[in-house]
Amino acid sequence: MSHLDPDHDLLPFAFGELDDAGRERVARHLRECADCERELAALRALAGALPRALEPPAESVVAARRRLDRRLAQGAPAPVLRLGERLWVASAALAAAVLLLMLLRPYVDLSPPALPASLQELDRHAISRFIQDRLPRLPLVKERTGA
Amino acid sequence: MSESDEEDIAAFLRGEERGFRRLLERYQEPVLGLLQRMTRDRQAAEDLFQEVFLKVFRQVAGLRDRTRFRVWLFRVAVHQARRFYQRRKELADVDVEGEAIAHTQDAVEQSDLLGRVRSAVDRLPERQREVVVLRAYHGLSYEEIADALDVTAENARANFYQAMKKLKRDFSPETGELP
Repeated sequence: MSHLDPDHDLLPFAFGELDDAGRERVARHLRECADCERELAALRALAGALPRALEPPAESVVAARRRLDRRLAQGAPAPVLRLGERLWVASAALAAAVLLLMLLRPYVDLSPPALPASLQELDRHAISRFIQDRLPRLPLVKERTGA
Repeated sequence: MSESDEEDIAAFLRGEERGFRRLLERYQEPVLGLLQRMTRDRQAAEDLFQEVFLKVFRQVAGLRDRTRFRVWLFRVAVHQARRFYQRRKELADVDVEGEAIAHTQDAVEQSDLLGRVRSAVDRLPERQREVVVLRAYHGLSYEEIADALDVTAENARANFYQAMKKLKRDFSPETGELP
């Protein structure tokens, strides 16, 4: 009698990875083959022991957690928002600012401050002449090169 | 499980720190267990544990599919552990795949059956060890393992089967190691 193939029969059977027909075929063989049944028992025992064997020791969990709690208490870095969320937060802040401005508008004078009377009388030509009179006269390029 | 992960992530991102605490409570043992088996070094695993959860704290907001938090978390842990292997290889030039890592377990631990199973897992090649921990301890599907390790599901399955055959050889019923 041939035995079950580990990769195609026994392991998939032990870990519940076969379909109904596969399960039935392997179960039928196992009823008649003591060798394969022993192989399966060994695999199942191993699979049962693995989770317990791979658990971290309780004192190690406590130690690791205590250190992490200490680091978080010292001031953990702020979560980094992804671009979409950052845009959402920026839009919400902008909307809140606009809303606040609209609500405050009846109570706050937002018009620009009036110019003093002395400045109001000056037009832009007068200001331009005032500035030009005070600038040192720079020689033209032609004058500097002697052209 | 995914539903409560999602709820806890949402709570955390609303500013409720207890959301993060709940994630931590749920995954502290699985993550530390994974790191200890991957690094085979308890102290290093505890150090990496800090890095993994601080990274989660900072970056969970960027996780697009929050139903896959568990896989993402293991992916982060695997990445941290691989960086650790790499640094250790560069610094000490030791064979991290073989018998040279005997320093990682206490002598007492070696004397009991579960300790011997742990040691046998530690002797597996890196990829097989990762797959065994994710499949046999954390119960991830091959597709989830593939996602966490950047391999195909078929590769994950093949590595798992190889690892289980090696482990079974170490603990065959004939040797009386396991019932």
